[in-house]
Amino acid sequence: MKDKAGIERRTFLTGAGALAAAGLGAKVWSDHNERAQRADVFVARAGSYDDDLERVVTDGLRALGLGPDWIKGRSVLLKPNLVEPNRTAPHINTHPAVVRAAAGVFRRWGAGGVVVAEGQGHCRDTEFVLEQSGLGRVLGEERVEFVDLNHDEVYSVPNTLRFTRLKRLSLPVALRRADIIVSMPKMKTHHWAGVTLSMKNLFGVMPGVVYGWPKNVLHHAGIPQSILDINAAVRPHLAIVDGIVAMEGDGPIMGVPRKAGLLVLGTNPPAVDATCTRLMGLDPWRIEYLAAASGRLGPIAEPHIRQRGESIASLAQKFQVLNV
Amino acid sequence: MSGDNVTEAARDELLALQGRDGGWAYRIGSAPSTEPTALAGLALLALRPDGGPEAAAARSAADWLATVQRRDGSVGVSASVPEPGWATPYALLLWTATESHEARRRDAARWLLACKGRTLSREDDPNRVAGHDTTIVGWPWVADTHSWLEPTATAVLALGRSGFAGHARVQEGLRLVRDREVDSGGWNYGNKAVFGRGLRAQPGPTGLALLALAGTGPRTDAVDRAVRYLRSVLPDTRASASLGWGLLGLRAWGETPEGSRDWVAEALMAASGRPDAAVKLTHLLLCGAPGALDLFGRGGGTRTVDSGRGDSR
Repeated sequence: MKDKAGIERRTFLTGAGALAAAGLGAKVWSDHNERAQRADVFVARAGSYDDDLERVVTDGLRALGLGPDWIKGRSVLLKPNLVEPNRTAPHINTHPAVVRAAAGVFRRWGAGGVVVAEGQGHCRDTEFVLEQSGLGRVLGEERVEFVDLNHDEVYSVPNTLRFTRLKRLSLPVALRRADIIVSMPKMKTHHWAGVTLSMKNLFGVMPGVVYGWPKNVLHHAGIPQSILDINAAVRPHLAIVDGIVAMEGDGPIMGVPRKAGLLVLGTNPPAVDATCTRLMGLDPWRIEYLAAASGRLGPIAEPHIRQRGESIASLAQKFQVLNV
Repeated sequence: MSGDNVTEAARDELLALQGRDGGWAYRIGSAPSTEPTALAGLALLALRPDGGPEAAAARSAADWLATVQRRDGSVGVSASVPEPGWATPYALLLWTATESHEARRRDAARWLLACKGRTLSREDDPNRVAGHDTTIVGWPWVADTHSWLEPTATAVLALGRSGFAGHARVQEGLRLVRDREVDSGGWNYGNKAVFGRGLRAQPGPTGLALLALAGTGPRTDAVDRAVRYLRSVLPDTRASASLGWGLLGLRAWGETPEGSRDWVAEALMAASGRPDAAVKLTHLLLCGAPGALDLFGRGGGTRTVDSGRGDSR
C-alpha cells in the first residue's frame, strides 16, 4: 500500500525510504522520552509445535526473573489470538500447543486458576473458532475453562491515554477477575497496523456486544490509537508470542505462513513487540503504535531492551509486507 | 438417547435456565441479555406454538425485553448495557411472535428504520480497498459505524415480519446482503474482499443471509453457491450457532442435509450442562423446530401466538 507521500509500505516499515516518517504521526507521537525505561525480552528458538514448549516457556519466564513465587495462588488469563476460523490456515491463529504449554507452566507453578479467553473480531460463533483452530479440543483435553470475552458482562473505565476520542472503554469482567493477564499473539504482519503482536492482540479483549464484529468502533477511532488506549487500560502483565510459524504478507488473515522458529516472552508489551518487529526485519520506529508507545507504555529502542536468550541477529528474517 | 429425547431434554434444560425475571443470560451467573432472551423465546415458541410452558416462557421473555427498551425504541444489549441497539431486531421478532407489546413494536420498528450504517463514497476509497459496495445503506452493530451482514440480515427479518417487507430500507438491506456474498460462495461477517483478496465464508452468517433472502425472490446462483458451501462445511461443524443458523438457512430454501438431525443431537448433548448452554441449546433447538421459519416470516405463513396480553406501554 502507498501512503500519502507515495512511498511503499515495505520501504516505509523498514526505514529504508528517503522520506521515512515525514508527514506521518510517528515522530510527533514519539515525543515522550524512554531513556529511563528498561525492559527484558527473552527470545527462544522453537523449531516446531512438537518441541517441548513447556520447557521453552519455563526457561523464558525464569530468564525474565519470574518463577513459582510470582504465580502461586494467582489467577491467570491467557489471551491467544483467534482472529478467524480456518482449519486450512493454522498460521492465522495462536497455535494450541503454545497455549497448552503456557497453561501447563502456570498450573505446575501453582496458579490459583488458568482460563483462556478471547473475543475474536471476525466471527460471532466463538465455538466455531475454537473448533476450527483446534484450540477447543486442547482445552477440553487439558480441562481449561474458556471465557468468551465478546459476550461477557462488561465494566467501563475512563480512557486515560486518549489517543482516540473515546472517553471510556468497556472491558469484560473476566479481565478484572484475573490477577495476571497474558497476551499470546501470533507473530504477523498486518495490512493496516504494519504488525500485529502482543499489543494489537488486545483488540480481542474488547467485547463484541459493545464494539461489534468486526470491532468497527475501534477502526473508526483509529487502529494505532485504539491499540494504545486499550493497552494503557488493560496493562497486560506478560506477553508470549507464537513465532514458530508466523505470517507475512497480507496479514492478519490472508497472509502466507513464514517459518520463523521462535517464541518471544516479556513483561513489557512495547519492548516485546519492538523485538518481534526487528525479528521480522522491520523497524519498530516506523510502526505508528510502537513509536507512540515509546516512553508512554515502555521502551522500544534497542539499547533500552535487555535481550535474553537468542540474539535478534541470529534469528531475524525479512518478512514480506503488503504492497499494493 | 434418541433424537426426540435429546430435544425434549434440551427444551427442559432451556426452560430451567430461564431467570425468575423472564430473561436468559449468555452464561450462567450473568445478568440476562436481549439476544439470548429473545432467541430462547423464539425457539420455545417454534417448538410448541400452541401453548404450554414453552409459550408461557416466551411471553415472560417478551415482558422482560420490554424492561430494557429505551425511550427511543431501541433495545440494548442488557439492562446494564443500554447501547448499542443491535439487539433490537431480536426483541422485535419475539414481540411480533407473541403478538404483544404493540406500542413497543412500533417504537422498535421506527428506531430500526431510522438506524443507518455509515457509508463510504467511492471517492473515500479511491484504491478500492474494500471489496463491497460501501455506498449501500444497511444496519451497523454500533451507531455511526459501517453496515455489516448480521445486523442487516436480522433487521431485514424483523422489519419484514413486522409488515415492512416492502419498505425501501428493507429492500436496500437485501441489496446489501446480496452484495456482500464472498467470491467463493456464502457469506461472512460482511467483508467479501480486502485489498483485492477474497475473504472466506462462514456458516453462521451464510445461514442467516439465506434466511433473510428466502421468500424475497427466485433462487439465484448465489443461493446455490451458499447451499453448496453449507452442505460441505456443516457435516464437520458442531459449533451450535454455526450449525443452527446454517441448517435454518438451508431449511428456508427447502434443503435438509441427510444426517443433520444426528449432527444437532450430537451438538445438543455436547452443549448440555455447560455454563453457556442456554445460547447453544437455543440455536440448536431453533433450527429444527417446526414453527421456526414462520417466526422469521420465512415459512410461507404468518403464524403468531396469541399472548392474551395487552400492551404494557
